[in-house]
Amino acid sequence: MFHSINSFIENKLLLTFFIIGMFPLTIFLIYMIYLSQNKILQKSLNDEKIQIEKTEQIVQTNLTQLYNEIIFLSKLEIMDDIVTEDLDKRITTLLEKKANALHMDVVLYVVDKHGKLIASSQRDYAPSFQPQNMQGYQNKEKKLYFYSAIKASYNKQSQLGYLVLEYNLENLQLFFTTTPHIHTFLLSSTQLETIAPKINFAFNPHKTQVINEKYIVVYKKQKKFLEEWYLVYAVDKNVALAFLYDFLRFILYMVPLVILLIIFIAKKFSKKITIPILQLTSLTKSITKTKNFEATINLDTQDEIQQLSQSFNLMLQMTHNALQELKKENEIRLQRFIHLIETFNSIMQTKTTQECIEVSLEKLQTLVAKEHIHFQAQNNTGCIALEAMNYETGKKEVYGALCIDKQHLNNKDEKQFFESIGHMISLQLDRILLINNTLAISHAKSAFISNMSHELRTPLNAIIGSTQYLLSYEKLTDDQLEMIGNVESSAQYLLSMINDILDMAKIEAGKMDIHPQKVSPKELVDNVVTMLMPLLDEKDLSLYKNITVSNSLSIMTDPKIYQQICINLLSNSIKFTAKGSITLQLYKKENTIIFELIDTGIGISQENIKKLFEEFTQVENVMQKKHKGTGLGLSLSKKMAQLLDGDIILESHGESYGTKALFWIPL
Amino acid sequence: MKKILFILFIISLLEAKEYIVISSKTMPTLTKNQLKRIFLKKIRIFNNQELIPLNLPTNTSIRYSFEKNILQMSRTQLKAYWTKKHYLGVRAPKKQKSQEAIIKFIQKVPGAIGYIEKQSLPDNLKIVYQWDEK
Repeated sequence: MFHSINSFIENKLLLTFFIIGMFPLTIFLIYMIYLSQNKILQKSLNDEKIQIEKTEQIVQTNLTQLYNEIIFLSKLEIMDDIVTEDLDKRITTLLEKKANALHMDVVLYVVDKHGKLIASSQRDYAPSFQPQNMQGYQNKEKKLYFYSAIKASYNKQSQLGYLVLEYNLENLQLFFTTTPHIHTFLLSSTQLETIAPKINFAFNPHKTQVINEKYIVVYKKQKKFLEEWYLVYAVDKNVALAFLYDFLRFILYMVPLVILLIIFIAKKFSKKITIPILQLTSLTKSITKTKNFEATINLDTQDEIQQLSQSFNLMLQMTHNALQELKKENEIRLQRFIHLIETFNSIMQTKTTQECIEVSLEKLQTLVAKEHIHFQAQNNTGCIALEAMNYETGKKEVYGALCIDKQHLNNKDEKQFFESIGHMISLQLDRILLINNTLAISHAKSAFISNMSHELRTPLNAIIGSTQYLLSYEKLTDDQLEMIGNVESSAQYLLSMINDILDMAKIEAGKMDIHPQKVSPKELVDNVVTMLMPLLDEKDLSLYKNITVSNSLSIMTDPKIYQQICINLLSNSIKFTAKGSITLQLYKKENTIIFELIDTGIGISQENIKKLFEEFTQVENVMQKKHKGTGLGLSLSKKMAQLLDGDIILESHGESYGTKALFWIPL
Repeated sequence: MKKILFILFIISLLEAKEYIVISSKTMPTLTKNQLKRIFLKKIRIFNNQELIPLNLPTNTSIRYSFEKNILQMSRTQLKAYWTKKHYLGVRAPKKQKSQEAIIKFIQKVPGAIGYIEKQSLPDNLKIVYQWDEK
């Protein structure tokens, strides 16, 4: 319901005010509707009771007045004329006059003491009178009879007759308030007769009021003169409640106005509260954005929100201070860290185990007092063991231990710290030992190679020398020549193999030295071609040379190695080409010199290309038998090319499609 | 109507009018003086009978004659007299409108006494006085 962009406080306030405002209103309405209705009805009843009594009073007064008049009339001397049977009609005249004077529907009669009519105010009709009934008053149907005894004025004891007033009760309508909404009437006990227009209601002689749907009815049994009658006073119910309904309608019309008023006031008041809160919020937002913890918030509302802003300021300050402290601490830590790194650095720089231990101790002594830390060969409890790999036995063993005074090992973090340092030192020791070991191995290798180099070549050279001497100087038979020739070529071959192997070993051991010189690649290639020309001629292969680099172009590279590579490649081409041609190209491409050979030889299949560069493999082929080789050629060449910062690539479209060899080095 | 004719008849007989004072048979004849006193209500009781004098209406000639001859008082004197008597609680004699009424009244009420023109009377009434008017 409250998903507006306004603050929740505003809505809460609105709701609160609404409830406060509406609550009494609704209670009031409920009261009005349910309770006041009854009250009004009650009041109505009370009013009616008062009214009915008033009416009753009036009626009574009037009737009593009439009665008194009758009594008075009966006392007149003129009534003596009963004796003369009203011969002169004096009584009649009087009665007539009186009846007229009363302006009511009344008839006056004078009867003698036997009930015989003497005079009447109306001539046509006379009821019969029973003298024994003629006392006081009598109610017959809708007529009320007043009786008064007429005594002779000359003789008070002598009763001459009676004066009778026949009063039509319809006359009483004069005293009844009858409006469209008020109904007054008389109801006889038998409920059969009514005087004045009546309304229907449930009459109960034992009660005095009835409220039905339409009317509020009050009735009262009459006393004097009208004992047979009930005076009924009824008011239309909706008239009685008219005021209430009008009021309710008014209230209902007011409700929207009140609601608007409430909303208006609520908004106004909530603004007072929410604006400082929003200010506070926006300020805090800006502070968190700019991370400016030095800012302060100033609100002047003189209430709890101001207090909030003040404590917020305090908090900001504290945060700022805390941050400053942290910064400082950080710096300190950083310093320490740097120091630590430096320590490690220095340790790492050490080259011997003794130096390592010494430097470690020295650095640690900057953290811990001199007396509290020392190195010993045995590992005791409470000391940090330094382990290193023994490369001779191949096992890890304890080199020594670093003992630190107990007081520095209390803190778990400190203990861990020193342990870490211990590990570090161990690592360094390990490394030093490893380096030593490697160096030793390397030295051994070098020695071996140089030894081998020397040892192997010496006898071979002797063999070659001897055989060559034999070939060139001694007189030998053809068979002997051939045999010696074999020996010589085998020895040569062996020598070249040994050279290859040693070269390989050198390169492997990283001992092959490059001696870059300024050389002309064209020259080198020409040399190579010249060297291998005999082989070409032997096989009757044509060589197409295409050298595009100029004579003057020179590069920095090792000429021996370069030549060797070219020789290897060319000799391979010649070896594996039975007939056809070899195309030799030397050209410059971008910033490389490329030596390219394309032959029409047996070719190589794709899978075999990979294998070729592996050491000691020669692809199984037809020419296997015809070709000798250690299988080192290509692999060695590739390694040598890589030494020169270049590479060799072999391409072939497949077997019997020829091979393309590409050897490049950078300029 | 009857009365008017009767009065005319009486007026035609202006010459000699005879008037009588009547009462019930039990009443003795009365002297003028007694009559006067009765009609002035100076005598109230006579022979243990309460007397009820009856007058005719004010403007009748009989009455005038009665007042002149019997009471021998003028109207104004009588007025004064009765005013005085009124305050003493004595009322003037009862009035009857007609002579027939007087007759009837006297018949009915014992002790009643009134004056009329001379005429035949019922049996139960008697003349107690007579006078003429010249």
